[in-house]
Parts: sequence; structure tokens; C-alpha cells
Amino acid sequence: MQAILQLLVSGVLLGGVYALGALGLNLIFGVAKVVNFAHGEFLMLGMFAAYWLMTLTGINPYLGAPIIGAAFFLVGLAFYAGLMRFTIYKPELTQVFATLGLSILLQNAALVAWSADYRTIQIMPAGWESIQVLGAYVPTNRLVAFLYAVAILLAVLVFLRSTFIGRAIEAVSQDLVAARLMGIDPDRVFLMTFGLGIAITGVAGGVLMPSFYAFPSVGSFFVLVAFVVVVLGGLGSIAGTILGGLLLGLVETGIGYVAPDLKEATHFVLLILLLAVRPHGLLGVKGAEKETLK
Amino acid sequence: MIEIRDLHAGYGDTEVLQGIDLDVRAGEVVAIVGANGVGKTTLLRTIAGLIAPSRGSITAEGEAIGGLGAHRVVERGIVMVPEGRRLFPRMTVRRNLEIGAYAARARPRLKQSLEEVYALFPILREREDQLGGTLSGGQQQMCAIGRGLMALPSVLMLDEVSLGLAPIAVKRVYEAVRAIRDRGLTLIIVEQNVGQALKVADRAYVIQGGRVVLSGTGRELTNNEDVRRAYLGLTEHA
Repeated sequence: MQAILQLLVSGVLLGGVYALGALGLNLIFGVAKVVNFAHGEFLMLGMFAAYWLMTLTGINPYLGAPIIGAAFFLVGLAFYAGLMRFTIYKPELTQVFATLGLSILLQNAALVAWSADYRTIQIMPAGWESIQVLGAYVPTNRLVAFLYAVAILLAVLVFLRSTFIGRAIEAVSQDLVAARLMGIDPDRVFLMTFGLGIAITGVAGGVLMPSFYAFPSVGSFFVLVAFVVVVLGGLGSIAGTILGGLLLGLVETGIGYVAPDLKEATHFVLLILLLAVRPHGLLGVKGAEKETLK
Repeated sequence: MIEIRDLHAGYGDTEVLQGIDLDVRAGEVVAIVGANGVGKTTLLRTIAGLIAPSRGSITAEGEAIGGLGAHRVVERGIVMVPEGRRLFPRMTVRRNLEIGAYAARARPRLKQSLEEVYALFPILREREDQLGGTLSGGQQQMCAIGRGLMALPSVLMLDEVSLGLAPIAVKRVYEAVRAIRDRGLTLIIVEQNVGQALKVADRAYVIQGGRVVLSGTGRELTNNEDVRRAYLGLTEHA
């Protein structure tokens, strides 16, 4: 009984973090139909941003998350305006190569700038690394990251539902031509979506930093997780991203308990099964996996 | 209101419109008729700013709007209700209507416009929490027209509003079109259902091969033998 409670707590905490890590990827895909292969590198940059913020100014990433978010919003705008804008109505392969190229560039730039060392930061004071809830062990780093995930996911949902620009983003994701006929400027919507998606990704990297090591190629682990979460929950669906994250967190934690060696394999097995059986995911729109901008 | 001169436009290297001249005066209902694939929809899409003209001009109240981009054309009060309705399928009816008032010129009047649309189409008020994709064809068409009205158009362009609808739904939709006309709104109607369009139109243009081949009042064209034979499927004695 105790073990099951522990697995549930760990699984949900991990799942929330996974959902947050995948949200930016799914948002950008849902609206601009771009699969961002550099997503993991933006997470990596978020982690390093948190590291340097803490190391140079002493501001820990839990408090500094808004600063990281604002900075990465600008990074997202630059990402769209400087690169993705030129690929947006082009065939998918153009976008794949553009983002894949950027991914390689960012990884190697990070390697040159910061070397391949593993870095971490300590935030929670000694003795506060974990707390006990109903007898279950809860790592505080994961708990804070989870709370951030919940807050950001809710904030994004509210933003999309209740602001004009949020609704415009939603409209473009559902029918680009109809959105244009409503007076929506798609270029502005794409710009805002990339800003928002990368801001979320940067913050995700930042609040993950204290529970993971940062190094230049750490993104390639997270991007795989993010792809599984997005495909599992549903392409273009934010509710799906939350569900996908939680499911993956629970499954991974459960399997890790029974057969620790197979923990990593769950990602691949789930991904392959889903792509074969239900490629639009649990909550995704049927056919979303084939969607391109028209 | 709208003047079109020697308009050429198309997709990629295919030129669909090959020199269209057309005028729409304020308060008029103009029908654009013709067989499938002659460029009627392309013409509306070009006016709406979805397609940039390759040659020629479109002016609205003296201002050139050709190639401005759809969102800028909407801000000038020229609004298109697209073929196939194209509601946002995963938004409620109400959300669909509200997003119709996205343009800066329409936003301040959103609440009032919504009431007016509900008054015109009471069924939409009943269905306001239903998802766009779950409405019947006729209701979707009403929602699409209502969404267009939310933008406070001075010119409303309707593309194939009767296509794929049951006769009873066609009748309802055209009752609404007449009601909108009676409010003094300028309308441009593209239809394959030529009889229906000519009945409601003040004037009409017949398009063939990307050019205007005939124009006149609705009555003139309804009585024109060539039009009757080619588009109305009527014989001389009918």
C-alpha cells in the first residue's frame, strides 16, 4: 500500500514536469504545424539560464522564473522572426531541416561556451530536500517544479480562452483561412505563438534545473520525452499534453519500480505503439498528425 | 463602392482570372454566376485579400486594396463568408461568433452585434454552447453568415451559401440574405444555384473562363435565353 502511494506521488510529480516540458512543443505544433526539433535545446538553454542566473546573481530559478520567461519570450520572437518565418508555408522538410540544424548549432555552441561538464545547483537548504506526506517521500525540488507546471498550464489555458490574441491563436490552429477572413494576421499569431512556446520551454528548463543535471546535450533526452508526451496526449491539444505527461510519468515510475532496467525503454515502446495504433493521440484531433498549413 | 479593373489572379502559374472588370455600388446586391471552375471563388478570394492579384486593380471607396492581405481588407469592412462554412470546429457557436468581431473596428460593438445576430438567427442562441462542428449544415451556414456580420461589414461576400444544403435550409438561408439586404448592406453573392442568386440580386455578372461575358440586372439575365439554357436548365417554354 505504502509503495503504491509512493509510486503515485512520484509518478504524478514526474508527469507534471514532463507535461510542462512538452507544452511549448505542442503549442507551436498545434498552431504553426511546425515540429520543433530544437525544442530540447531550448530546454537546455533554460537550464543553463537558471544555472547562470543563480551562479552570477544569486537569484534562484524558482524566484527567477519570470525573468527567464521574459528573456525566452524574446528568444522565441527572434527564433520566429529570424528563422522560422522563412519556412512557415514551405514543405515540412524545410522546417525539419531548419529546426534540426538549429538544434545542432545550439548544442555545439553550448559545448564551446560552457564545456561538456555536468552542472547542478543546490537550492533547498539541507534537511529540506524532501518532505513526508502521508508517509510518502516527496522531493521538494520536484514538488516546486510540479506546482510551476500546474500554474503555467492553467495560465496558458486561461490566456487562450479569454484574450483576443489567445483566441486568435486558437482560431489559427483550427482553420488558418477562416482565421484570416476574421481579420487575424497569421504572421502576428505565429510570432506570438513562438514567443509563448519558447518562454514556457525556457521556464520549464529553469524549474527543472535543480532536479536534473545540465549539460549541452541534455536536450536530446528531454526532446524524446516531449515527443512521447505530445503523441500520447494528442497533437495540438493542451489538455492532452497534461494527460500525456501524467500517464507517461505514472507508467515510467511504475515500470521503474517493477523492472528498473526497462524504465527508459517505456518511452520508445509507448511511442511505437501509439504511432501504430492511434497516431493522433488520446485527446488529439483525428488526422492532426497529417496536418500542414494550407 | 468596389471597382475592379482588368483583374488577373490565380494560383502559382495558373492564371484563373483573366481580366475581370466589375463594379459594386453601395447598397446593391450583386450576384456572380457561372459554371464550376470559371473563377468565381477565386474572384472573391482575391477581393478578400487571400490571393494577391498578378495584374489589375481593386479599389474600395477610392482606396487600392489589391494584395493588402486579408486582415487589412477586413479592417476596411469587406468581409467574406467562405465556401464550406469553415466554422472553427472545436469552438462553441458563441466563440465562433465572438471571433468574428476580432477586427479592431468591430470589437467595441461585440455585445450589440451578438444580440443582432441572435435576433436574425434565433437558433444560434439556442445552440450557443454547442461546438461548431456539431451543427447541421444549415445551422453552420447561419453561424458562418452571423460570424461575418460580427465584423460589421459594409460589404459582405457570400461564397456558395446554398451548396450542400437541403432545400428547406436553402430557403431559410436566403430569407436571412434578404433580411440582410433590406438593412442596406452591400452584398456580393457567388452561386452555382443561379436561379436563387438572380432572384435576390439587383445586378449580376456571368463569368466564363476567367472573364465577365455578360452582365445586367437580375431580371434581364433571368430572361436572357443563353443564361436560361446554360445555367438555369430552363427551356424557352418553361
